[in-house]
Amino acid sequence: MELLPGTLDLLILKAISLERLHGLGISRRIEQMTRGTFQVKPGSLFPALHRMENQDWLASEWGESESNRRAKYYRLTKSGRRQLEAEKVRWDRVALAIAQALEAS
Amino acid sequence: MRKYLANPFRRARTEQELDEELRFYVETLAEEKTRAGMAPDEAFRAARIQFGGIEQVKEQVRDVRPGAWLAAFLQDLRYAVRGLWNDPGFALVVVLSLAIGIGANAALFSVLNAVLLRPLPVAHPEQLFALSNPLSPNSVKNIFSYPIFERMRNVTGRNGIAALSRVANVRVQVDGDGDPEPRGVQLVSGEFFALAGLSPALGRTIAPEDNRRGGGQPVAVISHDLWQRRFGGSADVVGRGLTLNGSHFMIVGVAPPGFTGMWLESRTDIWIPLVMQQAVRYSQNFSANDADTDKPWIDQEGIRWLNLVVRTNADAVALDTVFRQYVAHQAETVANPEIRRLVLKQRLSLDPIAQGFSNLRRQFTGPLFALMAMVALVLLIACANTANLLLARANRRAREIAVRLALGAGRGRLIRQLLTESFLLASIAAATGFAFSNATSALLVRGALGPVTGSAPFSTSSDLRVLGFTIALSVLTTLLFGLVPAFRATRIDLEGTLRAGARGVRGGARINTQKLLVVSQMALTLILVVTAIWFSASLRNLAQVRLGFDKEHVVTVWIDPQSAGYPTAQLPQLYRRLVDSAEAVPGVRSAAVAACGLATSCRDISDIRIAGDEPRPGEQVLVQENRIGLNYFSTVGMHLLAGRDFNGRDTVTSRGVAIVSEAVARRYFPGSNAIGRRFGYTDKGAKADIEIVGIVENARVNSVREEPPLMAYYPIQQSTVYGGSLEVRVTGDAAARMAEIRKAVTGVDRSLPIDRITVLSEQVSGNLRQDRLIMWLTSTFGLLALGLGCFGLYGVMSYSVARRRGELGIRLALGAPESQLFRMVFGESLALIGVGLALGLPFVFAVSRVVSGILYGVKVNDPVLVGLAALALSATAALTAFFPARRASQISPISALRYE
Repeated sequence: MELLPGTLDLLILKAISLERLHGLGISRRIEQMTRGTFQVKPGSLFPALHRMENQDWLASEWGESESNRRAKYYRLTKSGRRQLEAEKVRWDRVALAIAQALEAS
Repeated sequence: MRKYLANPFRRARTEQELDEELRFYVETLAEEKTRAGMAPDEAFRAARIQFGGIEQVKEQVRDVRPGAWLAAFLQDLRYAVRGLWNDPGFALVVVLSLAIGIGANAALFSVLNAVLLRPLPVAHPEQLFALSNPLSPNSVKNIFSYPIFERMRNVTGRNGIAALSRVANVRVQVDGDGDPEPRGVQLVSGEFFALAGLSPALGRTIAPEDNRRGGGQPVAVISHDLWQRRFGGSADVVGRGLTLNGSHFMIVGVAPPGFTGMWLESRTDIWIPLVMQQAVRYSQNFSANDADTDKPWIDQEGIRWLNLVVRTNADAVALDTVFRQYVAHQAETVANPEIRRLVLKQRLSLDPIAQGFSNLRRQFTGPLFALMAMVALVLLIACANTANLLLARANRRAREIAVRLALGAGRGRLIRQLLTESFLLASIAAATGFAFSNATSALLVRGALGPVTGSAPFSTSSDLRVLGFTIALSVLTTLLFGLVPAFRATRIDLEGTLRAGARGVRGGARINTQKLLVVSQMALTLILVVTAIWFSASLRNLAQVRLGFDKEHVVTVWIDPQSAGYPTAQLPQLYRRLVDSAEAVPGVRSAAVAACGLATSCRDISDIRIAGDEPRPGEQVLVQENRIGLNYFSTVGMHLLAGRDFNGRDTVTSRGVAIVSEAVARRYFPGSNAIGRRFGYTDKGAKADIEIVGIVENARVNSVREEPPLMAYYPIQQSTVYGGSLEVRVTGDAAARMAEIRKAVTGVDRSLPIDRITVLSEQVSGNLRQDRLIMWLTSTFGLLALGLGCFGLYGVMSYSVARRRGELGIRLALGAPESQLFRMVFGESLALIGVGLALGLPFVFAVSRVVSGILYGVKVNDPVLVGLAALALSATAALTAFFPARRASQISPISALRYE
């Protein structure tokens, strides 16, 4: 399923809120969190990661992967965490509003 | 900011990291698949497919990087430079034609900027206004007397209003320092510098205490420019002395840098107080009524000579009250109730003078806009040409572009890249054109104004506005010529182009665009060629106009006995000696003095009353006057039609006499004999006691362009007017006699300066300087357009022939005669020319409205002139089209088919 516009940032922030992950890890984690509903393609993922890093929501570092290879890991920064909270609140309001709209008779 | 700058230069490392990051993704996927049992290379392939295009992803990541645009721009720029380097012929032709187009636009815009747009370098120029009385005749509507200025100053308070004279050209002698030089001198009231917000660069400016009458205030402020050039910028200039027309002044200060006066065309170098009017014998651009111009002007209500300047915050109501009182007073003296009503209707109004005063502005505005429109057309044609060249170039590069599109380059990015190339071309052209415009705009002004004695013409130096205009122009041209080719070039049938091999053959739509461009070039060229022909015809008409005097055999010597300080009592003797010594020169037949020279702007107009003729209410009988010495008419070659010439018996003590021009006799004495009739001035108490003794033929005494005015000539010996010119009639080559005549005149009195000495024909030709300049410019533009247009046609047809080589070869192989191929291609060219001309025609009529006011004796709807232009254009274009057509007929079928 295609991602809803504006949700990619939220999902990425959420995906690395517990631990640092590399690109493939992030896309796997999103798939897992959404029970397979959303698959993030590399063409969307990497531009988003680099953009969010430039916005200082993410920090990156090179580390060792499970397969003992050099991989680029992303983790949340303080401002990223704040952004996650803000996005969550915003999403809750959107979801609530949409739900109410659909239930309205 | 560092991030933005650092990015492009640390690219290598960033790129490497990006590559590693993405590779890790793909390879991990592949490893997983291998572990799941896939063959390694199969797994890798599957992983790559799942990932999508690695290069595309990289490109998308690059786009979100900070400064991505800068990096992309620099990359595009490098690419563009490389591309042009490899195609120098193309680059040269494009840059050259655009540079001419942009340069011509920038040059004319600098002149337009200087004449119409550039504000005075004073504080808040937009708040400055000149008082005017719109119901007055044009020449006097914004001049006022000193007493009314004083009353207005009393009600507006300090610095509310300032008065200025016109700029006089005065010989200035710096104490103990070389020969006198002519300089622009302006008389100003003490409030002027403060009102304009001009603070001195050194010393002080003219201040309110310099308004004191009596005793005189012999102080002068000099321009920053004069200070630098004449005094080397030294601080001890304050306190030095100057002599102006025999009066001594002390320099008290230097005006701020950049301020060259309030008049566009009269650069001012020296300012002195208004109260010094009589001391420097200032006497120009005035209107006198019931006044004695030999007495100080500041005391006389009847002499109007001052421009009054206020700011927006001036007390308009108070000013208006003063003006109404003046008008009411004026009306009291008028008996006729209808005229009184007209007098009472006068109102004060405010004219903005943010750009300064100017008499040239009105005269230049029409031609400037017409020329500006023309250079815009030249630039448009150059743009069309460039677009054509770009389209052809894009076609040569079709395969390269197709490959890049196939490899994942975005179309937007490719368009940006092609536009960058266009922008690079336009920028180089604009820089070249800008440099060229700086040199030419000054030449244009000098060409239009001619050699100027004394004050230099106004500067057209580039300012930010000209620079901005040029930059905007280069961006605009980039879009104009670059956008269509960029879009066309990237709209490619990928498969077709790649399969078709090295040559881009699919260009059907493109060739149509190119033909459309050629057609519009032809249309625009027609406009410019027609205009050039109109202006040439106009100049020819002006050159053939009947002047009414003999310009070939008369040498004019401009003299200025007033500046030299001659008392009026000595004038008759001076005139006699001048005439005698000039006539003593071999080859001189006669000589005569006159107050006004011929074909100059010198004019003196009076309102007269003819005896026994009651004018209708509001009617003015205006005649232009000149005061002349004996034998004037025979000297300048004007023919007396009736009556007698002046003679030695017409003296100060005898009856006042006049000779009028034919036009005066026709207009005011129709059906009767004017000789013996009398007239006088309309001043109070003046009697109609001037008797008409002769009628002389009409002559264009003011300017070649101006219809002969209604003239009245008086004997100079019956007045105390200063002579301005000595006319000398010679036999044979007039120019050859000039040196000896100069010697003879100088011999009369060394202290009498000769302003200028010319053959009359040269002076007359000076009248046409602007017309000649416009003719040259429009002809140049016309030829340029013709060249560019034909170049465009040639290019497109050659390209079309090359593209259809195969088709033409087949036709030949199938037995079509060569002449048929020739006719086919040539006919197509003719069709393009014909459609272009047809499309251009309506525009020609639109343009004709703009220029008809500037043309002399040319009917813009004359089909002969338009037909001539169309013929010239189609003949030249057909000649250029001949070559591609011949090439088409000479194709060898075998080589053409083999090539395919």
